[in-house]
Amino acid sequence: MGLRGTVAKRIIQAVITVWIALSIDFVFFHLLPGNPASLLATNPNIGELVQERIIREFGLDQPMHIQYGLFVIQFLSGNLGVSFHFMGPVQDVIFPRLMNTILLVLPATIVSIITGIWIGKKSAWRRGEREDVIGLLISLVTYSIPSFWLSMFFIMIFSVNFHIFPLTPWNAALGPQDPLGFTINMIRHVMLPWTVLWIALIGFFALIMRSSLLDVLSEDYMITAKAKGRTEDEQLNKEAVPNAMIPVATVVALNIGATVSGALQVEVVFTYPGIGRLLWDGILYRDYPLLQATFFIISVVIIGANLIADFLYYVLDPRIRIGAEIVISEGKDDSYLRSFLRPLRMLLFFLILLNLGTMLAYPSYLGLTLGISVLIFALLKWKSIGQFILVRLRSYSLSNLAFLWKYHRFRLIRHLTQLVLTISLTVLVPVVLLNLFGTEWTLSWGRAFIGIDEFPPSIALDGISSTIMVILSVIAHPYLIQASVVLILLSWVLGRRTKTEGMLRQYISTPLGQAGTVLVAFFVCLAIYGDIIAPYDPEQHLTGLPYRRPSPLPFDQFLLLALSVGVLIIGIATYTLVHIKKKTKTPSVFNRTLLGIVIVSIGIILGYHSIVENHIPGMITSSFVALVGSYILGRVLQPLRTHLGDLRTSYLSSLSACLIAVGLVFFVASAMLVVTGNPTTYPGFHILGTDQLGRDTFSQLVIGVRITLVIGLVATIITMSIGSLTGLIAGYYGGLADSLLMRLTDVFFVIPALVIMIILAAILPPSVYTLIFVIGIFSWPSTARIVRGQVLTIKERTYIERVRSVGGSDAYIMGKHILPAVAPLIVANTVLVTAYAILSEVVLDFFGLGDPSMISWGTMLYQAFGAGAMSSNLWWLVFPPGIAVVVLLMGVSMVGYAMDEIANPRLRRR
Amino acid sequence: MTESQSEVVMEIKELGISYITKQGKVRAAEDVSFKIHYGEFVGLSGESGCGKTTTALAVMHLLPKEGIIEGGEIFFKGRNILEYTDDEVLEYLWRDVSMIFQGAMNALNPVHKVIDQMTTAIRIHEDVSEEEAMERSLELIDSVGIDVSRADGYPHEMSGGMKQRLMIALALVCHPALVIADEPTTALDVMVQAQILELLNQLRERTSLSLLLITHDLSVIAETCDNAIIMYAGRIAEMGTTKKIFSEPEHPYTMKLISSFPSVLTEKGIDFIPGNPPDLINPPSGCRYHERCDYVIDRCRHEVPPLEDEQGHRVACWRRHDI
Repeated sequence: MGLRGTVAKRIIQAVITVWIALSIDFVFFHLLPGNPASLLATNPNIGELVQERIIREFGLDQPMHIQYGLFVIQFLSGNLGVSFHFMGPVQDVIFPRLMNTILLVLPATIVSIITGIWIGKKSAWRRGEREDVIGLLISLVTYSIPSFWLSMFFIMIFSVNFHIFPLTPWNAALGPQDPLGFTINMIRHVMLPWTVLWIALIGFFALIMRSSLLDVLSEDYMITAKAKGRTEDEQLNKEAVPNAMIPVATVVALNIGATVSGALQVEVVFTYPGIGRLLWDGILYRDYPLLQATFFIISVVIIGANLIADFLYYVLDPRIRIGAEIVISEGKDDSYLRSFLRPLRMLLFFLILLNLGTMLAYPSYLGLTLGISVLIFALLKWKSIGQFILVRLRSYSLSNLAFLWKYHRFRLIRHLTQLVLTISLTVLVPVVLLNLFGTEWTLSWGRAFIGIDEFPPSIALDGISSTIMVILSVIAHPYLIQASVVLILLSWVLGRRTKTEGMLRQYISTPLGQAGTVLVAFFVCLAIYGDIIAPYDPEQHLTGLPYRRPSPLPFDQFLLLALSVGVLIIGIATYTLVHIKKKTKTPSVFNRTLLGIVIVSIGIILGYHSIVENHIPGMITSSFVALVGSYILGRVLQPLRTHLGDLRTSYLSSLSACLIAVGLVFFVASAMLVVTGNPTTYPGFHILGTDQLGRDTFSQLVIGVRITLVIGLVATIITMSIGSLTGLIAGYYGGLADSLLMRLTDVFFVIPALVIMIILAAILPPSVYTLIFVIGIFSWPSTARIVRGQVLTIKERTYIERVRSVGGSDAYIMGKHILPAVAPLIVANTVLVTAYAILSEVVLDFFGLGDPSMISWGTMLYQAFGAGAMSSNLWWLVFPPGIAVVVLLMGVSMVGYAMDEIANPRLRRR
Repeated sequence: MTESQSEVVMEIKELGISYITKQGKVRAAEDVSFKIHYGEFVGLSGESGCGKTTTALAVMHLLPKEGIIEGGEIFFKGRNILEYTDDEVLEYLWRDVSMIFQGAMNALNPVHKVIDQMTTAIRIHEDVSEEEAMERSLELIDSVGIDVSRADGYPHEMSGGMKQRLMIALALVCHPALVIADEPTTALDVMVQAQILELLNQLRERTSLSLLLITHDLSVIAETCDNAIIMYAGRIAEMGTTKKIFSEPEHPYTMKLISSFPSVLTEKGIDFIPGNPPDLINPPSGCRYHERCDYVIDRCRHEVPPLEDEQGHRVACWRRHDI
């Protein structure tokens, strides 16, 4: 296929993507309760004539398929409907806004691409050295900052406090109209949004450039370049960078959507008259036609931009420009068609379609059709199913269990837990699908699973069914399932101790891994000990006057904290000094001993407070923490004795390490004392002040971490399950499944996930489930891609060929040979996806789409923004949640990157 | 060996190289000494991990960060290249010594045209016009048997054999006195291998080029080289003229190595060496081959045999005359 063929193909793909976006748009807004016509009728803003016109143009009184056809025709011809809020055709509102958005996004993106690539280049070229650490740190920080928060931060600093930039939003019609004055006025207004967007995007581009360049640097031609006598700069800029730019160009093109979602947040905070602000207005006034049209326009613009970027890509890569076309695993189509036409497959296909159809059209009958499908399938395949079950059951025979007990204890645990899990799930799935005890039961199950409700729920049922419900509830109890999953994972890890231990050691020896682990552990502790730490009930109004500034610390407490921080600082300073002066450092055994002691002491401190407050999860966690600490101590005791003599030679370094340890323990103890003790001894004491309703900000901050973590984790589990499964299947089977999946991920990459999430969350009722669902469903494509890529290379290895020739089935090969090989990559990716999920959650909350009954960081910022915290300079409502988000995200992404360095075969050092 | 010093292109004296790893210091090369004369083709062979490539990388200043040179000298035309400053190294590479890499498939940069890669190599080292560099490159491309019209293409448009020949042309663009070829024929099919060897032989006849050919394929050395060096576990076991080494090997390791090569024509059985090459972190005392040697005596276990020269045939074995 020549260049022209490729161009044609790309354009066709773009058209298909536009069509899919349009269809998503249509489906979403028909998920609304009630039909669009009744929505129109209830809207007081619209006159009857207009209503009739809309109903006629969009055929709202016609059947669904005609509505769909009319919708597509109207949208493609530029009639985007009538806005409820602006009371006029949507297209008149959108296009001027679109120009404003482009004016904002384009310069900022270009500058940040240049900066990001420069940082990524430096970082990769000096991998593992100081430049790399600084570069990575900059990238991770900028990557972790939600752009809406950065906007608030900048406004408060530069506009409210220093008056450098105007606080008023930009409006082209106001201000001087002569060219020079107009430009100056515009720049004065737009400078700050530009800067925010620039900073917010740097990290993303820098990280891509770094990983791509690392790939290239391990290639053979780089050695040739060195041998040729090229200088270092030439090696980097003339040989490596042109190669590294190719994948960077693709990823940048694919992620234009991500840059746009950054712009949306910036616009909202700056009340900049662009598309993002329009989206915000649409959500605020529940102006659905406006949302629908905005989504469509954003998609079309991004698809167009993508197309242009795609052609840029051909300019960069000679391999594609000349002759060879990138082959996206072209399967042999006719053999696929033939296998597809086999009666059994046709039947299966039909059943899947049937169920999908029921799910959309008549959800209440889903249980029925699903039951019928399963029955048909069971009848057709009863032989193989029976054999499958029999084999599984036989593995639970006593002799087999005894054998496992003797040789593979951990496998025995896994084996038994799997049985429990299977029984639990086989009970759970029919109960949920057949809706036996009503939706209340299912919802309560879900809430209990994420840890915010009691289970089983108290549903009024008569005698016998109540007993059945209780029994079934116990069998399918969420805690049981959680425990079995944890046990299975644990036994899986422990069964491969040597391998895991090696990886763990590698992970913990990287500075990135150490810092990340500490940060994440801190937030997890915050979530667990929240009830003890939070001084007030976070939801209680008027714990003090509204808008109270943070109270000054009492002198004695200040002294305690200052003393411990002083000790800590002195310790760190001397340690660094010794490090810089290259004096003898303490033996690492000694440092590990101190670490163990610190962990044990922290466990004891936390345990003491848990016992005082009678907090059971706290007590369990404290003993676990203390156990981990004593494990570390136990491991170092032996080598410590042999190294004790070395302490004398490195006394300065050892002493400062001791100081750090003492300061740390002291600090934790005094901080716990301060946060737990004050409300009783000093009534009206608020460390971080109060908000507009007089609620304690600090308590909200502490409790808010829970919902953030829960949504992040559960959404990640959904994402990872879908993503790795599809990636595995697509990579392994190739052909049609693969092509379909890749097209689908293309679509998801192109249409900004955040915009879909925002719109969907605006349509669905606001609740934790909506957030989890929305984030979980739309974040998986990148995971699927990564897994697929890895599966593709592993699939070609000779040992897979070997297993196949031995007679292993596809499922066996995938489960036993390919999955373990990609598992480390999946784990590393999970962590990165968690960071993304948390960020999405915070942004959705900020758009006011969070659960109104739950406190989270995003909601706190949303309320602060709504209460005008920026212009009134209420920094204690804005800074703490934002900083908490950034630090948590940094911790999570540090862990993820540290794991990625170990697990990702592309990044392994040569 | 009675030639004057001026005829020697490169002389390596008692070179020792170690890799620092987490498990300890790996002594990859120890006490390696040999000379390469003008116009001479020298073959360097041995098992995997015996220090062949390490030696070559040291000559090219390409050792990875973990590799450190512990001692010895490398003289190029009488100057010790290990004492070169960074700028001198950049000048020396490719102009004086160039290298043909193992697996040339990936040694050419995929985003630059072949001809551009060659002209830049010339222009890094010589102050010539673009046109002249182009002419010289085309001449060379022609001489390695590739149609000049293909020069204006990218590496991915070439076959494996063509890429390898282009790599050879690239190594010759600056007229270096010495070329190091690291496994130039590995991973090529037999017909292409024959073409490459033919090309190397032609080069020997036409130019005064010296070549250090690194390979584990003894037949390649027999085909092309004047002299051969056999290394074992970081040390030179035996060196001499190719003829001598192949017809009358004196080191037990060389004997085994030669007899373990299959032959297409004769019905001879294939021999093998029992055991594994020694651990280079804790190398065995005495002769490093003693654990696997059929002729081992007590002295071999304790004393390192020196490389004894007898009419240009050097062997490091205590029992070279007994066997």
